[in-house]
Amino acid sequence: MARLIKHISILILLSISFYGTVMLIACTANYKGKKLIYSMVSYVPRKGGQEASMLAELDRTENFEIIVLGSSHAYRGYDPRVFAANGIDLFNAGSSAQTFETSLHIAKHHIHFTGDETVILDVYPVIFEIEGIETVQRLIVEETDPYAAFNLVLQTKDFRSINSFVKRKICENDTSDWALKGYVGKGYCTNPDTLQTRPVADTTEFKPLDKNIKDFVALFNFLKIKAGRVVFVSHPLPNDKRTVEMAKFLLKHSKESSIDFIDFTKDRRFDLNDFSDPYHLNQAGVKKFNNFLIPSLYYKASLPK
Amino acid sequence: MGKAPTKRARKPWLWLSIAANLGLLGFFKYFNFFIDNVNYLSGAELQYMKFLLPVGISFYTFQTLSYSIDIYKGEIKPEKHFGRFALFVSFFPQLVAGPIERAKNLLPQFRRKVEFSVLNFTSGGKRIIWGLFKKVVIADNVAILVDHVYASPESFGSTSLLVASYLFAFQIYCDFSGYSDIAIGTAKILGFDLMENFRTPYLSRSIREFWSRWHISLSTWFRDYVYIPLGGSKNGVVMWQINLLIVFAVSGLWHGAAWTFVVWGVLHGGYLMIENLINRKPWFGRYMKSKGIAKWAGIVLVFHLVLLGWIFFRAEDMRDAWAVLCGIGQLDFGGFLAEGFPRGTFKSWWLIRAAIIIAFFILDTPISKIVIGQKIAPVWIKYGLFATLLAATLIFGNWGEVAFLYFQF
Repeated sequence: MARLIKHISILILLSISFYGTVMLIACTANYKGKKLIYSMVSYVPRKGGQEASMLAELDRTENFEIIVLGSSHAYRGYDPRVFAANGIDLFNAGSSAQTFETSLHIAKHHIHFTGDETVILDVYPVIFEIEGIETVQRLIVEETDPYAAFNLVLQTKDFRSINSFVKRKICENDTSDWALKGYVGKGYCTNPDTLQTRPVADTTEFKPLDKNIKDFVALFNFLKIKAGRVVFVSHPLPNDKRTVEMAKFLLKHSKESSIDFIDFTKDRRFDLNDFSDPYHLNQAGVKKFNNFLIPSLYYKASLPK
Repeated sequence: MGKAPTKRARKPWLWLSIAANLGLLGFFKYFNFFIDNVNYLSGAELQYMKFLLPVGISFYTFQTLSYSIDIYKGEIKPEKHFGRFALFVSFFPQLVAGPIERAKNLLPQFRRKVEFSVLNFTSGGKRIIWGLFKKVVIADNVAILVDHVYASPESFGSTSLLVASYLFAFQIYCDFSGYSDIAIGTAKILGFDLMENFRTPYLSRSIREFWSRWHISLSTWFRDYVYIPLGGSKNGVVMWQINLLIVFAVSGLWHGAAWTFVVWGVLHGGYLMIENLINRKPWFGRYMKSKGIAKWAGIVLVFHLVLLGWIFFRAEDMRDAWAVLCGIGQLDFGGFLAEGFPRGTFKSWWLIRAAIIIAFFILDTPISKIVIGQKIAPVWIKYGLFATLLAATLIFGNWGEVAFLYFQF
């Protein structure tokens, strides 16, 4: 038995040494102007995304009336400047491909709840269906608190998270790998382009993953306790027709008799000129959407005046 | 059946066992295929049955069939301990995708006392590390590109279709042999020996040799329980060739309830028929013993014949298989990597992945020999090898949820 323990110990130590050496080289050496690690694996994110600026700013923010959680629809779709012009203090805590798991992580580790604020949870069918590897890896790299990042690694139980965390530690003192364009503050990023052709409608069957359902229930229960109110919003989306199915689903799994759900997906007041790509509004579209949303929040979701 | 004194007395029990086993397999696996064909041929609209295919049904059905047939032949005694028999049918390392074990190999092992052995643990551990590397690093990474191209083959040019088909050959080998390694390694740690299922099949220089190195537990099963009972090569040349074709068509159907699998099987049967016509020529004997260019030319030829079969095996249906063949046949070799590959394919990091696959192809045989224990290597080489495999698996592995290909069978 002593021989076996010796063999296993040597193998583990040697494996860790090989792993560490390869990761060290991959995270420090450059290939075609970028770190070698980005040419080796597809999921390790570059340092310096919207999450980095948003989380740093969110950590410094004490009070707000509305906080938005959700994917890129959120951080590119709710402009704090439009809300401020209407006398509402909004912080946008959305991030790229954010799933309910990472929304809950941000809510637990970064949002200072007072119990009066409104949480807008931007929901869209795809968020129930994706594995969520992108958002988790980005958060592990960008998380302002290293312990919270490590917790996320343990929570995901995924070797990819270990690689992202090791990359984070090796590149801890590096500046950003890329320049983030369009960040205007309070988590919001603008989209300058204009869509040229109407996207094809997504009519595939709505197939939520069990893990995402569990995470959704956990997030909703957490927000019900911590926040003043929770509003579900689906931002305009010409290519996804499945929100009716999703709304039934939200109602069933939130175990509420009614929920505040404002659905803009099929709103005919939006056209191609309002979009920058098939999934996101451009700046003009965001302004239009936010100005339609604010009255709806007062009347449909009982936002305090 | 075991109590019946003669083969004649045992026969009704054998047929009952065969009917029960094949009846269950036929119902779960082929009922909807049958309805599909009836609807297609008659224009009827018979309803499909909605049920889940029991995991590993093709594998344990064959295992229980071989048990009954071996008892009928008097080669083994019936197992009287129900627990041991149940363990034989459902032994978890090989339950879902083999190797398809024989009762005469596995049941005696369940009867003896098993004790923990350091040697078994290290030997099994090495197999698991090697299998995991093949599955997670090679098979699951190339699956991203293969799945993307084969999802809509008509959208891709010759290069993409050809590359995806070559990669599928590596995917299916690494996926299935990786699973077999993990199964054999797990059983070894528990103190049981399962049969070998692969012996570097892509280095075969004839189709016959390929089938003695690929999915050995299935090919020997078909040889012993279908080919030989049909008469094998003993009833003249014509019957011999017909028997071969039947065995391979059934083998194709065993893999899946679709015509693509039948075509794959018949294609291999056809290869063997042609090989049987030429393998008595003196030059064929010289070729099989040759070294150097002739040997490698043969290996490349056999690999490409097998590759042609894999196109049918991988395609969703006959239309897609035809689209792949026509696409490759157009010889339009421009535009690879510019055909809208999603993130996570070879687009951004194909050089490193290609290097890993080429290195794997070169090192597969020597590493397999070290893993199995056929080749004695210095201890520092073994440490270095397995530490490298573990580190590479951690870094390059595709850790998303990708099921083993043979789980569907």
